[in-house]
Amino acid sequence: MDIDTNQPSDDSPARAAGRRFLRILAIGVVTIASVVACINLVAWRYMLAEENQAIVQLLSGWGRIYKPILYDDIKPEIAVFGASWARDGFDPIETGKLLGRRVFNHGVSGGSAYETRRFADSALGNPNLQAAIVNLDTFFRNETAARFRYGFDESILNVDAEHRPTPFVGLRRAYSLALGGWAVGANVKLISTILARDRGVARPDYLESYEQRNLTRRNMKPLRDRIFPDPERARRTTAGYTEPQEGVIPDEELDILIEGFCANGVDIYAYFTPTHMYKQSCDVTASRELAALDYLRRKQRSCVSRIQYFQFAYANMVTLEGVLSPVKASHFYRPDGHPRPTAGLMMAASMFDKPFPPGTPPMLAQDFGIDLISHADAEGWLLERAARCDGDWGEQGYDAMKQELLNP
Amino acid sequence: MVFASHSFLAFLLILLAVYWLAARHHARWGKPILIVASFIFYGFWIPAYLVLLVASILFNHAIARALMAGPAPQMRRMLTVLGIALNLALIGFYKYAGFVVESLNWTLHTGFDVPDIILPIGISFFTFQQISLLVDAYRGRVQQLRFWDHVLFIAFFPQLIAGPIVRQDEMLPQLAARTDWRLRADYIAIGIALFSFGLFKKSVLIDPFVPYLDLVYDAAAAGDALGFVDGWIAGIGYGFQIYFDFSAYSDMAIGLGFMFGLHLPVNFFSPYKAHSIRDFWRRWHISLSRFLRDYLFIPLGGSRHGMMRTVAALMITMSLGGLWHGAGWTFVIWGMLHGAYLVVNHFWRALVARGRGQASESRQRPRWLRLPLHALSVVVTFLAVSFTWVFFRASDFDAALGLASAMLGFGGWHEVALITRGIVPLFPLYLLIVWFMPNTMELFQASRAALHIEQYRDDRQRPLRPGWLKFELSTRWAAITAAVFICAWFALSNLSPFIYFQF
Repeated sequence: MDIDTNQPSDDSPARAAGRRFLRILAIGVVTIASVVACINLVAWRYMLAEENQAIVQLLSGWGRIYKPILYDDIKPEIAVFGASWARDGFDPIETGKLLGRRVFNHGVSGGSAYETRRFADSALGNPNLQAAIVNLDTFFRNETAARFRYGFDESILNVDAEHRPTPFVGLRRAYSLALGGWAVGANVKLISTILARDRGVARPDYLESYEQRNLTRRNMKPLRDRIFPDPERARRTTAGYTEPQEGVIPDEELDILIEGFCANGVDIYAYFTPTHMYKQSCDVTASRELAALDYLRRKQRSCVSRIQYFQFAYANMVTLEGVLSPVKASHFYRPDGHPRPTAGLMMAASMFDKPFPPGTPPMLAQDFGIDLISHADAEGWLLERAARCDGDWGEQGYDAMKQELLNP
Repeated sequence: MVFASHSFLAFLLILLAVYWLAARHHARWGKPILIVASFIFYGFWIPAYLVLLVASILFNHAIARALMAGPAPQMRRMLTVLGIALNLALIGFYKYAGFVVESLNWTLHTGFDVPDIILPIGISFFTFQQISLLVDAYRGRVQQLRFWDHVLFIAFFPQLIAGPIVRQDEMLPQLAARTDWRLRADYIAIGIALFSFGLFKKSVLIDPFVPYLDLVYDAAAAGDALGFVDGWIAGIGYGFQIYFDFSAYSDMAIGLGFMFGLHLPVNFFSPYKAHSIRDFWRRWHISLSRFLRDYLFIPLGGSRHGMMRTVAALMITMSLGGLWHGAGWTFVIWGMLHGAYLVVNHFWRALVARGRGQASESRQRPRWLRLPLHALSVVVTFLAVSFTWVFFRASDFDAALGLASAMLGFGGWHEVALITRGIVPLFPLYLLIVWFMPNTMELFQASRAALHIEQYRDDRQRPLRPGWLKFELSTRWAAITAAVFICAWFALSNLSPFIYFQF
């Protein structure tokens, strides 16, 4: 076998070339790393500015890394947890103005139940935190979904999965902020977005969360015919209460998350995303919602803080947008179907019992979510609304809703 | 410890510093430092399994020495059988006990508890190296076996947990002949460059896009409907994932070995450029193919005892090769599919050879047809291999069957909306790399970092074109390496371990 095991003398040309190569390599790596670290650290200060928070927190791509660090710097009173459905739904500045408190949006693209729980674990160290808005869709999803996604780094969270403090978390965060590749990507995206805003570009054109769906591209006729059938058919009696179906159970991570909030006196505002009706399957038994109600009621019994549970995902003024009259630029939905921050404002107003934004149709304000934990007939309320998806509007609502939707 | 992680980079930096300081004054200290570092590297995950590694080395060393002492033929056979049996028992217990019990429960409707055993990392690799050592000792092919050389031969950290499966005659002579263990600047430079290119392949080229692929496999595992396009995205996409993952690992392993002046064999050589399944197995996981050929296929009869014996030997070899990758029936099916492809290839070659024998010169393939036919062979081989990957990757048999059915058209067109997202727009780039670009071994051929490269490409007869692609210790390549390393380092994620670490 032809293997060179002889060692050349110290001054061999190959070794000299190797030394020169290593010198240039080392200088190159150190120089590039230093420049990148400086840019990243300057950019980080920029990310912390109050006026940039809507852009920073609604940006998609690197939230798993910068959000836990940013959160600890901002120390908000209210935090939103969930996947991109939650991230796109709540503008922290607009929601903060409505609620009169500092709001932080901790939603991340494709956020899994485990990731969301871990972000919540890390967030509990903030003594200012009073309330958490929790998107339940994250915890009632496919069991086979990945536990976490690319970019999720537990070593920068304040505590580990067993709630023990993470060693050297400050050092890890400093490294991540200065030399993490994500920082370069996030900085480029952030700066280009901020520049677009400063140039006076319209918000839907520079901030993805505010992009608007063209609802006329979807054939709404089958949906319209199902939800608003002939008036005779529309006035049926609402089905009675059924026990939650077996098999609809929340992810165990939700349990850990709620226990954490309860132990730290943080109020919980849980909700299901008000997905547009064209994206919802019609479940008149409201099995998922009833299971969540049953579960959250049980948790409330042992929780010192307040648990509230809101259901927005039924046929209402938001989720029926564009079903009866054409809407080219949706007020409530992004092109991918996520609720826009405009829908988030409606949800926040409903959850925290605040006035709805000016210009909100009265019907929307009257019929958009309710705290089901304190409601005397929560099951009845849920079933009544679930039945709407099949054209069953009970004794009221059909005509009024139709009129409102036809004359937006 | 995963190569593509910050912890490994820190480990490597410390090791190089300690090694350099120690070996510059005491040239022989290199070997013990590498042994200690390899044990630290292995014990980083579960320290208790170090005992297993050490026990395996002690046991196999004793058997090998006994075989080399020249006992009577009957005793030689007995010692060899005992050694192989105990090695197989070790891997059988740790890797296949759960699988066997599950299979028994399923077929006989029994209710035995399935043992919950954590697989010691790299056991499949170091056990195979030990078996090959024993067989070579039995055959009288081991020239010299010193204890500490044996320890480093097995435990050397660049190849310990995911190969290449190094043969004793590739490593032991290097270790025995080496007297000066000092670091060499040129070897470190070449090693770092190779390592950086490998790291780049993994952390930049493929890892960020894997979650998109996982969506299709998750959907298959959940029993969701899948279409033709979804199936092929899954098959081809995973083909790219494992290609870049394993190619990256192989480059990094060879680069790491070379930093310390040790040459590891070529393990990966543009397998998707293969024009037949036989060619594919000459290029994919070369050290495993070689092991299966020399220690399984040939002892089973090889291809010199008639067609039926060859078919049986191929099917058994490839099925066991599949099972080596993982304790599951999906891996066996993956191996059987490759076995079936090889059988078809065998028949085809026999048919062509017979046809050629009867054909006149005028019926030989025209020159203008050669390139299109070669391209067609490459594409067909690529698609055939891609089809098998769904069995390799799918979480269970039903999911694999769902994906395979979708690939064969027993479903809609597409159900999972991924065509314009994530990994799919990168397919043309990946195809460009795997079909048209020279591989890392070719770029680095002149540095002679890997063993056996000349069997794949003779640079003196057919130099690399264009010439500027050829790696050399120049300022330009130092700058390129710095840029490649920085990009790879910044993109590092500790989420996705190398696929071959699981075997």
